[in-house]
Amino acid sequence: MSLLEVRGVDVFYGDAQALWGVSFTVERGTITSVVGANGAGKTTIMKTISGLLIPKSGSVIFEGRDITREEPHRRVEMGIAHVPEGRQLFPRLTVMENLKAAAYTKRAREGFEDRLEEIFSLFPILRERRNQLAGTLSGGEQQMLAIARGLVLRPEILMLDEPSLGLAPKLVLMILRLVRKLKEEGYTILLVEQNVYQALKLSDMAYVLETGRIVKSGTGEELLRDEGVKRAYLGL
Amino acid sequence: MVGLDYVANAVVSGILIGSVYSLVGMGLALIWGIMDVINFAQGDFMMIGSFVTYWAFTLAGVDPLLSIPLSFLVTFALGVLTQRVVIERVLDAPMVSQITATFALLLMIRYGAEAAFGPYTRRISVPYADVIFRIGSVSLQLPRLVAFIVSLGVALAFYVFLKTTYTGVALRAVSQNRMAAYLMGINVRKMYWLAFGLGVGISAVGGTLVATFLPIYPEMGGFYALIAFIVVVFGGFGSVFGAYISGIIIGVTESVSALFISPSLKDVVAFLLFILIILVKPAGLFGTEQR
Ligand SMILES: Nc1ncnc2c1ncn2[C@@H]1O[C@H](COP(=O)(O)OP(=O)(O)OP(=O)(O)O)[C@@H](O)[C@H]1O
Ligand SMILES: [Mg+2]
Repeated sequence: MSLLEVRGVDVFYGDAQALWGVSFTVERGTITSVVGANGAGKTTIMKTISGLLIPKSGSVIFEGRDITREEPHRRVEMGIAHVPEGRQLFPRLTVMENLKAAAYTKRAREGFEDRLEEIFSLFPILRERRNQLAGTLSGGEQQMLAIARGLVLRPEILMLDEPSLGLAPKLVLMILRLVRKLKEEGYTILLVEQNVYQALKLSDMAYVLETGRIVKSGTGEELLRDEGVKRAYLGL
Repeated sequence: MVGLDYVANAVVSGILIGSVYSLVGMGLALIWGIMDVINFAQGDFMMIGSFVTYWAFTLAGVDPLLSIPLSFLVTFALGVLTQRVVIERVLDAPMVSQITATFALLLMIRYGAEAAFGPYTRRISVPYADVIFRIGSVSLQLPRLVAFIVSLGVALAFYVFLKTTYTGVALRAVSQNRMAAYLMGINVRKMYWLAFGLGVGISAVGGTLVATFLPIYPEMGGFYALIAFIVVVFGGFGSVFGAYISGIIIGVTESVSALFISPSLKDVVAFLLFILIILVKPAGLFGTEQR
């Protein structure tokens, strides 16, 4: 059984349809990528999985349970973590308070202190800045905090939406290395990354999304060799 | 020439009454800050607190201070109910719908109370009403001193709650980014119940405290709501700490100006101070520009 299964979802913003019968699966312990141009619907997919959007038809199955209509906070309690595009920190809370806000659920509070230690060893800079307001952090630090907050949730699946957006090349590599490391530690990751080459290299499975429809899928390596993908996303 | 003793007395009594204004303002600031809803009925929930205390005292002989938890719990429950039945439905509505909704609440509570209890002014005469302490030339009435101590205690407890508990931090998180709060597993809807319940509950504690030394009447909410608005704007929208300090500043301004100008103009002076602040520092004394 797949950890997550999205079955034929149609998602709308008002009258405008953004996803058309999208189906895919995420297997436990893998990195799965969704690749697509701006406005293709990548963020919409993540919002549908985390419950910010409810599909008009189709379903979302998590660990064998239909969660299509479950409220977002209940999905977090089940282990679905969504690190949103644009970080979405609590700007006037400190770094520590941002992490504490993520430890609100019963699930996350269990062993929070220990997890905090692990997180601080992954991101030593956050320990240094723990009493600083999140809004005053640099872009890279903010992204680390956004991911750290996702880890506090003790996720079964960690969804990262454009985690390296707007970062300097060195930091982009650092974030991508981190994603690989998280996989090695046993996390399951659903990744959207504008750096398509790097993302596909990391991914066990990948799906190509075009204007709200999945048009191609395969392992990361397969898609890296695909002529269409090369032309459209790798600039080759 | 007004003697220094008088000024000292006026300052002290301003601080004492101001601390009650602070509580009413803090409740308003909390609701405003977390939900972006202006609760015009804030003063009327405070009035409910006063009347709970009055009836507990009159019917069952309960000392007003002992009725604080009762006053808080009754209004907290009413606040949660109000949130679920009324406010929730207008949260994402245009501001004018929100104003209409909370204004309608004001009318229902205020005139409901008037219909039920009559428009009369009532007083509680606690046995210790006339106990007075003197420190040098400054005299302190026991009920006012108690009100100050209790309000300071409530404000501190509230501050610690917001700063240190998981729920308090979650409440603040909700106020800063609703979507992110959902993604952190915070039940936003429940946080809003809590915010409205706490917000009116804290103001009701203020209602209980004033009932020990000032007259109460169904329409009293009008005056205190005005003060609460000044407190909130003055303290920086949504800043609970700012609200506390501002309440005291306004209390002192009122009572000192009553001394120098005329007691009947004291609220006008508070209001002038308010306009001055708006002109000079629109975000309030302790406010930040962005929210
Ligand atoms: N809140 C919204 N209201 C209306 N339409 C929206 C909204 N958010 C997104 N859309 C539309 O839905 C489609 C998919 O958007 P989505 O944000 O999912 O794309 P994306 O693949 O994440 O793009 P990007 O790479 O720019 O982040 C786009 O056409 C977009 O204009
Ligand atoms: Mg996107």
